[in-house]
Amino acid sequence: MRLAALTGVELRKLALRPRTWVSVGLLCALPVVVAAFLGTSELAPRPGQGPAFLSAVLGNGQLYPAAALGIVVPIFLPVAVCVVAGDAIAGEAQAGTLRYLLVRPVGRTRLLVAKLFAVLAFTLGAVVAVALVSFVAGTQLLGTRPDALGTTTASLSGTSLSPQELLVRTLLVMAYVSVSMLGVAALALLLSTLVDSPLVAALGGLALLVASTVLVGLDAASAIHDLLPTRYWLAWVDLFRDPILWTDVRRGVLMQLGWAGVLLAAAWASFTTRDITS
Amino acid sequence: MPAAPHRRAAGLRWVVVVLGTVLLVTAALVGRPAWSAGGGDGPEGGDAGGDGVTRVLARAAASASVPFTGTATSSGALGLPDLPRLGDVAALVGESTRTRTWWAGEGTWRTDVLTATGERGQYASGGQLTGWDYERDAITVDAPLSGARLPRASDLLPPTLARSLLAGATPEQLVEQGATDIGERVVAGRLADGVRLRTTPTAEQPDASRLSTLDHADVWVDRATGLPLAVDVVDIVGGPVVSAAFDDVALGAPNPAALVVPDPPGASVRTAEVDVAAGAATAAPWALPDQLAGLPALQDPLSTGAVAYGTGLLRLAVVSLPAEQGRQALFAAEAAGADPLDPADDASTPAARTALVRAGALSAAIVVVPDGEGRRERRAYLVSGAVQPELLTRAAAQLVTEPPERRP
Repeated sequence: MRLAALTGVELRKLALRPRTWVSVGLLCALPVVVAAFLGTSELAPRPGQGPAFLSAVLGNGQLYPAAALGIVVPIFLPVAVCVVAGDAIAGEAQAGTLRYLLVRPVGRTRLLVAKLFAVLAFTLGAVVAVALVSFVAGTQLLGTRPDALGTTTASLSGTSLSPQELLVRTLLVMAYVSVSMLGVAALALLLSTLVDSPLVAALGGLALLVASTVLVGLDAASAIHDLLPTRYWLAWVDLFRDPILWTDVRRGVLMQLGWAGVLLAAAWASFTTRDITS
Repeated sequence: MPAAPHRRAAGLRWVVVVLGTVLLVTAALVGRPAWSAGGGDGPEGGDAGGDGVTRVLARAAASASVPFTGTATSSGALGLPDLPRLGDVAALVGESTRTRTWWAGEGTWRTDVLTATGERGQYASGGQLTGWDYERDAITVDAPLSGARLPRASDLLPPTLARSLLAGATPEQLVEQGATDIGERVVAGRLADGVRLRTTPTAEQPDASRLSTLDHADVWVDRATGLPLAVDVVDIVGGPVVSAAFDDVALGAPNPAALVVPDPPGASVRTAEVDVAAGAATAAPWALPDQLAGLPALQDPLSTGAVAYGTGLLRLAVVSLPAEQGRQALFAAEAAGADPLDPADDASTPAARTALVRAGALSAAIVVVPDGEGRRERRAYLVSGAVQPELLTRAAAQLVTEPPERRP
């Protein structure tokens, strides 16, 4: 079967699974709940506290998509990505369908790549869904009057951002956040080729996330900070500075590509080598 | 597939993966200086390879006119309490601070403190400083650029920190005080010459090394332009006191658009508060001496009530406080458990009430002198520095015993 067709099959399977929509729904629900509380209480976090932009979104819901992505990036989005990536191969093995899947004229490499595309599609789709839902929630719940839509917004540096500039920067944030998930997704996919339990694979990806987060906060581990996958996750904030500070964004992208390259290569070596018994 | 070729193919795949990983990690670690250089210029072969220490120091001291754009990280190990009217000082000297700077010259620059959730910018132009705080959505105006004041983020940029260490002494004097060549190193992708400043005994201060809590300061100076790129100040037990280094830097005139003060929609505009040091320096009733504890003044004592004394790493900062403010500070320090300066060091200090506060390498003493002419005539001083209490006691003794002039 050709890669495009195989990818289409995997995407269709992903779209037809209820748990896909449950996880996307939960991801979108959190920013809506936060916006509802902020909108009704009008109590934003004090300056310097809470997720980025949350102190600035009251009265300006156009910024809320970025704030919402900031809320889901540290834990909720990587958890969802790990669950989907961990299920990719191990889920088939646990259900006993992997052996039968490979009986068809499907190369293991092609199957792995198709599974990878499905995971990437889920990540991108989840990010887009969170951004769209939070834009609606932000503009409806956070006090942005309809006539205020289209007005300028202050960047972190105090300069004015036109609605077009704000849109471009929000799209850049969405792209960066999606790329930032590559490392944990690749590890969960690698583990998914090594074990027959999707839960173990997902937990392995989360273990990397937790370990990296702990080490990033530890000054004693500064020698390896530049190698940790979560080191530059919050660099998306730099996309709202003026001029944009690209340094950490560039490092973050390179870091994720490096982790993804190594882990996906290992996943390929593992999956094309192992004996499929289930 | 037969078993043996299958195993060989499998082994080969893993060998490829492991080799690729090793190459990638090696490239990341070895290439880190270049990675850190970001958009900056690459390493340059300089014309100062054979520079003596004197010339490197002279170029660093004269580097205020070198324009640049860059990001830097500074960190301090002075655990100061977070007190009111001290602004961001406790965070600046006790934590890690990341900044982005556009420097056109000494009076025209912008420094942003970058935080995970916002930005605090300072714009210097026309002798004034304008501040922008994203999270408070506020612009502050009319802060004076020069004069006595508390430290701010721009003071901890590698070039300004280095120049303040070099101030008050000629390069030749610093060499006499023990400045030595420590080789070269790449900082933010640029080749830098290193000089180590030390506190060594001189004719004026024969016990200088014993009186300082600092062991040395390493200053790394860009070979091509003389711009200091990194500074590390180390105390006598080998611990870091203050460090600052560029993460990436580009030499050349900054983008003029980046130096324009923003006019954010809806932001509040406030007049800058006078910080505690600037206020005390302005209100100070008594003139400070030209020389204190054998250290020369770095500013005209008649023009300000806050004066720095000393050269190299042996420095004292003295503020002549209004009496009531001094008394309040003394009571607050005593209530917090501060001990008096050791009167055994000098017979004169018992005439005054003193309180000694220490935070890491930093020592500070509050000295209140009841001079018998009524409460308003009492004198009070704040004496501080990265020095041993013995030097504070000497300074306090001189301030107590030498009757000062009233400031004009």
